Formats: sequence, structure tokens, C-alpha cells
Amino acid sequence: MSAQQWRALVWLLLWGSWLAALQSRVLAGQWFGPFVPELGLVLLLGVCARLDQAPCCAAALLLGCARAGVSIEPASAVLAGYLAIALLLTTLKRWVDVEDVFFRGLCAGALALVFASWLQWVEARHLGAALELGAELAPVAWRGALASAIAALLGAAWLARLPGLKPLTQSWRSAP
Amino acid sequence: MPSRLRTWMLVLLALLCGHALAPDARPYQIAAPLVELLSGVPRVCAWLGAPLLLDLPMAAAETKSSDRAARALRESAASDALREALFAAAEPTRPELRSGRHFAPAEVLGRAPKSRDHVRVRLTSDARGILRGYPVVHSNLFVGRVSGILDYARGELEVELISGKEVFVGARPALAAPGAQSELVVGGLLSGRRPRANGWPPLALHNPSADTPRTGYVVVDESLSILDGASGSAADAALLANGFGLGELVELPGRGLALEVQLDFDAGLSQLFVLCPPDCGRGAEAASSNPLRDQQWTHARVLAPADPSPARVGLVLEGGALDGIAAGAAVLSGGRLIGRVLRARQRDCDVALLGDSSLQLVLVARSSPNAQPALLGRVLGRGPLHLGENPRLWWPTNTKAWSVLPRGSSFELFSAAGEQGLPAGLPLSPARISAIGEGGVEFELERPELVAQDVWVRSGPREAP
Repeated sequence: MSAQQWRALVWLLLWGSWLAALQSRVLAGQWFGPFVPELGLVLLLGVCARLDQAPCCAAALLLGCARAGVSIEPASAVLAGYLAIALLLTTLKRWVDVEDVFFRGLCAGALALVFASWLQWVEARHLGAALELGAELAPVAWRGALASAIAALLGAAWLARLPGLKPLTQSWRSAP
Repeated sequence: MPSRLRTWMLVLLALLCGHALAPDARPYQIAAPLVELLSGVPRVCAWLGAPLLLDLPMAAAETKSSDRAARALRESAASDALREALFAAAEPTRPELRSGRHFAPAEVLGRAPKSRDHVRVRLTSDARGILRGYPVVHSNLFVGRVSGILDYARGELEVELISGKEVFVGARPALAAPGAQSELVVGGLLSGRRPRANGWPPLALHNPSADTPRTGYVVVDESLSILDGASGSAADAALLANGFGLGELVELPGRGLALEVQLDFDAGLSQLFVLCPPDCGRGAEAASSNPLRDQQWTHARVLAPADPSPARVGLVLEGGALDGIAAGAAVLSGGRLIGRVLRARQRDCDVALLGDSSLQLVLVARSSPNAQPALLGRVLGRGPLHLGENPRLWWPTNTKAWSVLPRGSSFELFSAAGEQGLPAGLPLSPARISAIGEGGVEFELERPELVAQDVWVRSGPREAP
């Protein structure tokens, strides 16, 4: 890996941290109610479309670290969620064009919902409580998923072009 | 190469999932230092993101610092009054139980490590005059015996509860004359059962005499008991417990006689008294110190003011085990309890705020400043179901105990002693009953004010780096 690529990964971690902090701050301020996108996931979708499996997993782990840094969820649960998403995306890339805007939006919404369900299931396991997914998730997770879908539709490609990330998406660009 | 990488990534995913679901599993305990080191990476990220958080104004309207100071004084006075009332409620009410004994007040600090049948308590002064074997009571009820002195100067003791396997107490039906033939020995839980949601299991009876009645109230009677190894002062101390209640006799189908306890040993122990001989030399007992005014609070910087998931109500604070912060520690802001530490790492901690589903508190309610405090026991977080709503707590109760609380109007909630890091008398936001369900009561609290510059965490001795 070149120095540029390493620098790009550091930039990704920085941007991920700032986006996670922004997500936390927006929720604390209740500026948009529960309509807050999973920004790390949207950024991951933006960069993963152009990455091979190894850098995609590295990006997922870095963004997972950034997300776990501001979260009270177990860090391992957040990292597992992001890594699973990266593995799923690299598998999907074989059959579908993950750079398609509408697919990306749909994918972001669905993955945000699955990610929220996973975190809630882990929490329920810790509490020893049974989780009724429909009832428990309905109020907030659906709105977060919708916000993530819209954010991915409008901004995933833009997020992938954030300063410092260019070497990451260019040098590992998958062969057509 | 890609397939090998994929295999490694799948192994990593499996390990992460395993840690997320069972962090206390043995392989992860062995790898704990590595996990701690790796979990430091997300915290560096939090620090990287913190400037962004701090530069933005807090959305909630913050009260002026002068108003906060005035409120802190009011809360402190209310806390004093509550603690006094709790100790008054824990004193025996029957005159014959009050005479001929010295009562040393103690507050429960939490359970002893790895034993639910041992609690750690702290006297209001040092442990002068206290010996192992002295009985411990709550109101008119026998609770257990002093099993060790942990810290003489700080007055910290270990008490073995009557639910413990090793505790045996001589007893008699309350209506029988002292020294009568009808005698029994009480101690331990029936068949080692552990407490469940629907109440504490009954205590076991050993060798009841043939004329033991099938029903009735049972009190301690050590007069005829031969205590294991007890002699001299220990035997005299055991006699101090004579007359204190143990519970109601019940006949369980297929199990014989047992004793239904009247105290929730899991979450109902807050203020206790150690019984001492009148000439124990302790003198007048000091009043308990107010936790709002003691020095065991560490100022903590907010790293993340909310969880990125709207389903959780929590924050991340700078300050961890190196600052003496442990899991369960109380977190205050604006002079009120806003949550408890969920997870403490070396230099930072996660906090579950009021309403978060992982939050558990032992609470006392008081409908007015002069009303008798009602010990509620364990209360659970129930979330704001929608973002921006007030926090809700769920009090699981099978009884009509909620009837002591006012319907429609608000009442005060305070923390009760009994759990690690949560001292008695910390005020919460005013609450009201919002719903009465099948298995409990839901409280809605006024939204607590989170003042980013005024967050304090209960801390103990600092851990060596």
C-alpha cells in the first residue's frame, strides 16, 4: 500500500469520526427528530462501490470504529455490523451495479434497518429480554432507515468525494 | 487470495459477533487486555470528533448557573430529609425490640463480589464496638448477621443475609411463649431457589418440632439454639435478635413448611441497623453523610451527548477506571441523577441515561416533603418511545403498592441505597404515573437537564495505571 492510500484511510477515519459526532449531536439537539441518517453507513456505501474486498473491509472497520466511539452500544456489535455490511456489499457487487443511485438508496435504507435490528437484538440478549422486532423497532428505526435511504440517494456519491478520500477510491477502483 | 481474505474476514466477523453477544465468555476474558486496547481506537475517534460537538450550542434551554446553584441547595436539603426519613422507617417500631439494644445505622453499598447472599454496608461512623455475628435488622425484621469487618475506619462491614446457605437462626412461632417446645431453625432459600420476577422465594425450615403450627408468623428465638461455635459474646450477641420477625409460615404442596419473607432481599435493602449490646461503647451515632456533599464525585467531560442510534438514550464521558469510575456509578447533572455508568473502560465510560432500556435503578418515592418515603425497589428504563419524549421508567410490581403514590399529580423520586455506585438520596426529576399495566406501573419523568459543563460521576478509589 502506498503512503497516499494510507493517508486516505486516515482521512476516512477522520471523516467517519466527524460524521458520527455530527450524527450524535443532531440527535442530541433533536433538530430532525428521529429522521437522522446512519451517516457512516452512507459513507461506506459511497466508498465501497469503488473498492475491492480488502480495502472495503478496512474501510468498514474504520468507519465502525468511528461510529462505536460515540455510541454506548458494545464496540464489537457495531464493528460486526459494519463488517457484515462490507462483506455483503462486496458479494452483491458481483451481480448488481452498486453505484446505481436508486439501488444505493434502497440498499442504505434496508441496511440501516438491519443494522438497527442487530444492535437492538444484541441489547435484548444482554438484558435477557425477548424482542418483538415489529413493535420495538417501529417508532424510530424505520424513520432512521428512511433518512439513510434519502441521504444515500442524495449524498453518498458526494460523501465519497470528501477531501482526502480520492486516492482511496481511485487506486483501488475495481476492474470493469 | 480474495477467498482467503474473505475467510479471515468471516472469522473476524464471527469473533466480533461472539464478543458482542457474550463478552464475559472465557476466551474473551483471556483476551480482555487486547479487547481493551482495541476498544481504545473508537475512543480516539470520539476525541477526534469532540471539537465538533463542543463547538455547537446545546439545543436544550439551559438554566442560569445561579438557578442551578439554588436548585442544588434545595435538592441537597431534600436529600438530607429523605435519608433521615429512610433511617426512621428502618427503625424497629415495637417498643420491646427497641429496649436493651444499641442500634448502629448502616447503609447498603451493594452486593459482595460473587455472592448474592452477602451485602456490603457502611456504618455512619467507624466500626468501633462491632463484632462478627452481630445481628442486622430492618424495621422489625431480622435480615442477617455481620460476617466481616472490611474497613474499620470507614465503617464498612459485610453482612451475610438469612438467604445464605451458611446462616441458621433459631426461631419460634410468634404466638408461642419464649422457650416453649415448638421450635425450628430457619436459614437459606428453599432448595437453593434464586429470586424471580414474581418475588423472593421462601426461606427453608430445618427440623421443625412436631407441634409446629402450619400457619402463623415466626420470630427469632436464639434462646434454645446451639449456634455453631458460638459462645461468650457471640452467643450474647445472637440473643439480641430475639423477637425480630422472620416471615409467615406457608405449607407448599409437596415441599412441606417454608417461610414467606416480607422483605425484598434483592432490591429492598437500603437502610439497616446492626444490633449491639447497650454497653458496646459506640456512643451517640453520627448522622449519615449526604452523598451530594461528599468528595466522591469526578467531573467528566462529555465526549458524545447522544447515542447515534435513536433507540438508545446514552452518552459517552471522558473518565474511566483510572479516575475511580466503575460500572453502575451514578451520574449527576444540574444536581440531579441523570443516569448510571453502563460500561467503564480505562479512560472513558458509557452512560445509560434515564429511560434507556439497559438502565436499572433502586428508587424511593415521596409524594410530598413530609410524606413517608415508599421504597419501590428495582425500576427499569423504558425509553422515550419517540425521540424528544420524556423518559419513562417501569416499576415491576405485583402488588397494589403503587396506591401509596398520587395519581395525576407529580411526586419526587430519589435513589435508594443497595447498589454499587448508587448512594441513597440522589434526586431525580419529578415524576408522575403515566400508565398502570398488568405487571407494573409506568412513570413519566420530566426531561432531565443535561448541562455539558456540569456532569459528575460517582467515583471510588482510583485504579493504578
